[in-house]
Amino acid sequence: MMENQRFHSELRDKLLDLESPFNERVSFEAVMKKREKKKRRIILWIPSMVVVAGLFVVGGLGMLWVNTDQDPHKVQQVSLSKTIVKPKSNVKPNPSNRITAEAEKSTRIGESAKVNRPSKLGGFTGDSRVAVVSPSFLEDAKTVDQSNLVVSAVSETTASVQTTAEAKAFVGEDLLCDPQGIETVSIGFSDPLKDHVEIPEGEYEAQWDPALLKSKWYAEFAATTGSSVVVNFNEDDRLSILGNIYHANYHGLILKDVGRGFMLGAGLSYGEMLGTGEWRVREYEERISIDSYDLVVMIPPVQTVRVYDTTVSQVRVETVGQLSFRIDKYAIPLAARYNFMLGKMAWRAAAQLNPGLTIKTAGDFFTNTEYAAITSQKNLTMDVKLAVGPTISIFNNWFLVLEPNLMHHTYRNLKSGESRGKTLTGFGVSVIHHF
Amino acid sequence: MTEQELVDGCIREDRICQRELWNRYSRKIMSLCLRYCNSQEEAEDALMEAYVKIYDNLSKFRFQSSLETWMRRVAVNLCINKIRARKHIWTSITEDEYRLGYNDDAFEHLQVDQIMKLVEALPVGYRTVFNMYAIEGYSHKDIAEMLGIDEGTSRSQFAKARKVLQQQIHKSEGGSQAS
Repeated sequence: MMENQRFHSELRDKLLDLESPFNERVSFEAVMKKREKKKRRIILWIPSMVVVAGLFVVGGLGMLWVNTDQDPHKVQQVSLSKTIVKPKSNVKPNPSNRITAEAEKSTRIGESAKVNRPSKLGGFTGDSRVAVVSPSFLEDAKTVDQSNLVVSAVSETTASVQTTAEAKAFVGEDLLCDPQGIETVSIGFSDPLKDHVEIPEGEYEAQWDPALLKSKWYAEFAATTGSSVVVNFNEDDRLSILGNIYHANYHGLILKDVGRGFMLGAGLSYGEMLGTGEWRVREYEERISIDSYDLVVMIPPVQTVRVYDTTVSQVRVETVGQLSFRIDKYAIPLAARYNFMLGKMAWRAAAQLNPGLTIKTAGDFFTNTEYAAITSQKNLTMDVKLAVGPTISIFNNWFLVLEPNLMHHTYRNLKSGESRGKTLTGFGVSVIHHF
Repeated sequence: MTEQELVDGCIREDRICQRELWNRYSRKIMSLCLRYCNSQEEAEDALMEAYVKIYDNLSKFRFQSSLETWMRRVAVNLCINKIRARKHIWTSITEDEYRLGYNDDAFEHLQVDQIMKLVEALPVGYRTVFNMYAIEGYSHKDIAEMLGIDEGTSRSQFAKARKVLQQQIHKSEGGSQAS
């Protein structure tokens, strides 16, 4: 009954057939335009979403890595189930002990090297062995999820001698990790000798084996760009220059971690500096214009007199011209880096001094108010670069640093002793490899 | 040009066919949009959006109904989406109130244009349900699903819409008789 309370079919049909006008802005062309716009938006949207998603994934993985490495959880223990024997009561545990195992049972361990050095073990002396636990063994042990775990084992020739085991995981240790977690500088450049590992209760602390320490050496490859707009709108200046200066700098460095987050290094760099612009000279000239006309004096005798009218006016004359220069140079950069944490993000501050030589110069170097020809091909150069940016881990032992930077470029003519320079700001990217 | 040719042409992105589709149905769809939207501008925007959707999705048209019916459905869906986005609060009435019913005879004396104006003047909730139920022919169940409301709410909105419409008609009739 209720469902039948619709409109009269006749009225309904009339309403359905009713046509309504619309404004001029609504047209077939407008609809097509809207459709094209929508399609274009989709075309742009999809790749941009892919890029954003990729960045999120990379960032997320980086953060995950940082967070995982900074977790204060206990280092997992390798449990050599059948090979570990509890210490006998008459043997004092020695914290300097390494993984020890019964010699005959160490066959499960893929021995990678033998070190015939004496090692102390509960008052006894025996052969030391550095062994690598095979991944299959670790799977059996079910206690370690990292496959390249390195353990040191000292085996005693006497079977009854106390055996203890200690595993130290260095797997995936990276420079963004500070095992201490409480250092002010804590992204892994601190002195590794100071690092400690939380020792689970009842276990024995292992001594650091220098052979297992991470390298303190890093390689850095970077590309830095920057620009500066040269502009002078001061009408009072005789010469004003409008232009742009760009630079691109590429360098390779070897850096050494000197502790407390600092790294020092040196390398080789190549840089290009380009400038294009326009100079404008405003000069005021005095111009004299002389008008003359003949005046007829009607008084007899009738005479004609030529009258001269001199006008002096000041006219502003503008002269314009093109400017450009190019400086190519090699340098030996001396670099200092400081790594620090801000929240959960690793950051790096960089200072760099690039003493070097130009290898090719051309054109006229310019600033806002002056320009001069670069007369010599060989000039001393000294560039200073300051940069700060986030460090992102991209692969194991590979890092990316995004560096907004400020770079001051100078060159000095050896013959005339004249120096010129310009500060440019820009963006750089550095890739760091930890050896 | 038959509907089949028109649809095929539009799918091929044939501008002549696309223009023909516009010329043939745009005013009717505009009339539909006007019944659902609050203003002429809003209706015009809805019309253009509806046509963009129609052109983009014509390949999905299976000829199970007439092209016009399909296009109307696309436009109605679009308008409803717009209404739903406005988060309209639906009010409901009791079943008894609904059962009272009203006489449609009053509408017979009116011109279509007048009815359109009266419908357009209805509040959004009443207007939407009235349009969908009385004019487009949807059931209350369908309306409830499409609008995300209870079936009872749909019924009550329709009843209220009729009541308001009849009051408006009586008012206008009274006014004309007095003059």
